[in-house]
Amino acid sequence: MTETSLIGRSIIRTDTLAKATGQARYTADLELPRMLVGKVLRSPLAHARIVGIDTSKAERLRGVKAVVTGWDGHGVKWGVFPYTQDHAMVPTDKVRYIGEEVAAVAAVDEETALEALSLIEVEYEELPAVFTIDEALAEGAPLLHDQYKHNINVHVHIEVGDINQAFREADLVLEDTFEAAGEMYGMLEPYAVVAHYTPEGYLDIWMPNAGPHVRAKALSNLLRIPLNKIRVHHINSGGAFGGRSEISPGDFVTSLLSIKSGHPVKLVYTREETSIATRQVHDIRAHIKTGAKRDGTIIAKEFKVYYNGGAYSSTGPIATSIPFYVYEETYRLPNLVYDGYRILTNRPIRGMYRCHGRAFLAGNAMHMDKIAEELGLDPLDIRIKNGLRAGDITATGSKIISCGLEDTLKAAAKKIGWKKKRGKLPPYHGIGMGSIAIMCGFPMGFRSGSSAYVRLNEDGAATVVTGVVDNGQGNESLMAQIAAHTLGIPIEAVNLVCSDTEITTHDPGAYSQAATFVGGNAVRLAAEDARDKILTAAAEYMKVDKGDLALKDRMVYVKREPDKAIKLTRAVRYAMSKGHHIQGYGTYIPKISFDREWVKNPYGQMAGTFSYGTSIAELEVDPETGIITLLRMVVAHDCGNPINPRAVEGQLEGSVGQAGTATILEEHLWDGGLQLNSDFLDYKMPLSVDMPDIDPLLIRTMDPEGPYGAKEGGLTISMSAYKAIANAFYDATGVWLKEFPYTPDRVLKALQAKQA
Amino acid sequence: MKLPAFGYFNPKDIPSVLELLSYHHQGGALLAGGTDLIVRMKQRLTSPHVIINLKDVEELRGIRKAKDGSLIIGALTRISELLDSPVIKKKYPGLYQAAEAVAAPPLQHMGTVGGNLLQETRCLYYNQTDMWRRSKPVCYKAGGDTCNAVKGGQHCFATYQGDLAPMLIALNARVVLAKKGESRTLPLEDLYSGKGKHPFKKDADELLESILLPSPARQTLCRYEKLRLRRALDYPLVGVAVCFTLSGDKKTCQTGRLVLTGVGSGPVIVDDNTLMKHAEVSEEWIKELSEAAYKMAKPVPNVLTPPAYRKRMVRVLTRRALTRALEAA
Repeated sequence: MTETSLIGRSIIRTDTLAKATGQARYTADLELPRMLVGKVLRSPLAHARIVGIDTSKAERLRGVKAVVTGWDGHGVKWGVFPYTQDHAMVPTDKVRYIGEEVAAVAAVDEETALEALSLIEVEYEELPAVFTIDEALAEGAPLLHDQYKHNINVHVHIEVGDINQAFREADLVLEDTFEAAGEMYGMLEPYAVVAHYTPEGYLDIWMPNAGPHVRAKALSNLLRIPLNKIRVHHINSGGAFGGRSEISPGDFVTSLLSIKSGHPVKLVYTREETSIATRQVHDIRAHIKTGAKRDGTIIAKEFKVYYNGGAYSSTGPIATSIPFYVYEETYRLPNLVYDGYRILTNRPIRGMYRCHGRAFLAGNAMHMDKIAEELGLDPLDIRIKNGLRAGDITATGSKIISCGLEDTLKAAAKKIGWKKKRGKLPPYHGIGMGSIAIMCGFPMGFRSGSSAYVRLNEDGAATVVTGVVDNGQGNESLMAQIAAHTLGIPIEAVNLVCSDTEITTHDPGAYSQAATFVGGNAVRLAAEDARDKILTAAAEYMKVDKGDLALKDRMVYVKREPDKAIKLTRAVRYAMSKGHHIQGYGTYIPKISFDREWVKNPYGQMAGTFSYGTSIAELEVDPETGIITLLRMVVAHDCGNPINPRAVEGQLEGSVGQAGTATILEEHLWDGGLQLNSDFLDYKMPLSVDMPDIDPLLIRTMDPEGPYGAKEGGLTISMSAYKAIANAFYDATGVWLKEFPYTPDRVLKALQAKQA
Repeated sequence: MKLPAFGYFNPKDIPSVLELLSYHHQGGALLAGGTDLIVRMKQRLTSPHVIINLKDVEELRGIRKAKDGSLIIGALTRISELLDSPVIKKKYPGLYQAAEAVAAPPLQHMGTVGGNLLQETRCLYYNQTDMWRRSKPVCYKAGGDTCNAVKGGQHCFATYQGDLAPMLIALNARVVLAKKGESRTLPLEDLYSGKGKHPFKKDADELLESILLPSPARQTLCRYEKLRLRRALDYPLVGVAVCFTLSGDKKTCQTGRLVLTGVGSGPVIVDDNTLMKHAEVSEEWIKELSEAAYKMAKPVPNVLTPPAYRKRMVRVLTRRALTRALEAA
């Protein structure tokens, strides 16, 4: 079978042709009969009591079919966790950030909708506002929500071992503060949703989203519609990067507008709205104290990390934890205290991001290199020395079942010529590295597992039904590839039905890198179940032992006598004629601790497995202008076993573009609560000419649990690229630059400070 | 974002344009490449009730040689046409550099030379949507009486960020402005008021018809240096254009100009044949000019990166422009 194996083959993804030719359909492309245009009225103030809203003039405007405010809801506040239920979607008490939803209209066209917005009169009573972590924590600062004292929304406290004793025993103690401005997700498809409340009482939703079941549940709670009446349908997604994880006010108001008007309603945000009124990335300040022994062993870590969370909880407990976890999944940390605080401010809501935590993670990477330098060790060796290995248990109790950390470090170092370059390049030219681990699926309660269904059709083709969500990373294609391989049929013979709450199976959604590991396993099991039934039928038909049979190229054949074979269609039809329709079912739930909780019990098995990765950056600094040129990045990722190597390489390159160049360029700028750079002109996402040369390296560790040995495909680079750049900057300049991004003015200031 | 409603004219020749302009100079707008105007319309920074499309006016387009060897560049000539022109590349390498530095190829194919010269001044607190601007007092540029970028600012500080103007000024270019029944030619620098709110000294019914570019003397060196965060697309945070003519022995600068962009409300002429007149080419001379440029630059916090940084970069880039121009000699 190996010669026809589809695993490890760089096939053209199933979605490539439609996307490359512009034929792929996205939410904004949807047209339904009688559909209306939705528009949202947003708060011009950062913090203000809503005294009253008068929508009567807007309602009277010809062509306006519905106007909604928060009072059209049921007063339900949403939260991902029972203890974070603070978001009414559209407020009736007060607005908490500039851009917050205040009202919405549905009209026959955009001009009418916009005119209607201008007719809505809102009376505000302005309140003092807080924008930064320090302002929010200051004594007597105005509170955003009464229940969060001092504006502390979430406090995650994790304690392992005895840090006091460990710091006493340490030969070297370092302490620094690192800061990073929040980034923009920058998905090219703006936020969009179509909602249609049918006469039968169903609410149909189309929108790019990370998890349709989670979305439906939130809408059901907020709209008080039974869950079985909400159907979230499949549609292409133009990128998510963590940014389409939760219910948002846009989903809520569009649903309300459709319910109220009886028409389908489409709401598409402008780039500015996408930038200010969907989740974006936390500003972070991380205090890190590290204690090490003379031989480079890290024995103590103390963290105090502040996240500027904006106005509501969002995925707060998760966002306050993830940077810590990916770090503790990488290195042996016998003694640690982590205190993560998510602080509420009058800024737009911050969420989970694919490259989340750069101040914290790059800070730890800089400490690693600082220790290496002080103790005369090679940064490569100190990472291997402290790195976890397969069989190890992390500080908070996750067992590592496969680990390519050392392999990624060595492979990347070899590729770039580490030993010849580190510390030996000309002035202002440097090289640096960083490593990280990533969980493949974290606990999501009863939603943690995935199931799949496979049906063999009379032509020998398969229909695969899975809840897996594809946000552009290629998850759908991956499911087709796994099923096709397992069934011995070409990928073209697989029809996929994906992520629809009514039609498809359950799945956690595209959160926490679960798709390959969890969803892929379910598809593999379902296909294996179908395969078993095919072989049973074929054995009966061919009068041979089932164990002697295998599937290949749409044929069922006897393994020892490959000439003895029947067509797959023959086996399928034979089974059908006997009343045994070939249908396979598979379900997979990762081996995780279900009593783990982000705040109350942050200990136990976090994920079924973990991927590992290393980034090495080579860069040049112009000492006169402070401009950094990223020359090259070698990125090595242990994805267990790459099912589609080219797709994984694409993810690694994308990670360099998203996290790597972002280290130099990307930050949201603010004037208080007002975002100054919401567009792609002043928010500096890299252009093709800004990209370095990239060498993606795929490391195989054959994970014992993963589908065909596979783990997630590329996030380790999103979370290590900036580490490499921070350390390369030091190698180039001799300066630890602790503030991100490394814009030329910051670089120059740091270089000057060193000279002084 | 939708465009506001407007009337539309599509004239085919210059007289028709001038005729239309004479009627619609109040609230009318000329559309060339549209790369500046359309964005401003979408953001409701301007809502002209009439748009006069220039794209079909063939006589406004193209690069011609005049009898005296100078060039006549039609205002509607696209930036990409400058880059495609062998004569620009060979005789005006500084202009070629400046054209290449404009935005990115897709915009170079749309944007025109005239449109670039008349590109509006910009401000982080002004070039925003109407929704955004509702969170701030109305600023000078938008017709109000406050500056949102500079605390206590008594006038508009919007920044001029064109790439072509500084180089064309350094090259002693002149421009032809026409209105119904008359026409005038003036040095390009006289087109700019240096005022953020109304940056152009051009009547509303006037059309920028063409740019006259004199033939550079032998041993003329030009260089454009641009600072930006990305390697394409971005407006200049600082731009420095130098053009100077060396003596036969290359030891003396006989004549020259040094012009900045991105650090004021118009192109800033640092030196017009003063420090660059009969000056010995030396390290000292480069330092003197860089220092002069540094002193003339008045950046304010209305584009990305802090003003102090940008001011410092004026010195660095001026030095680079001069040094690199000399290296190419």
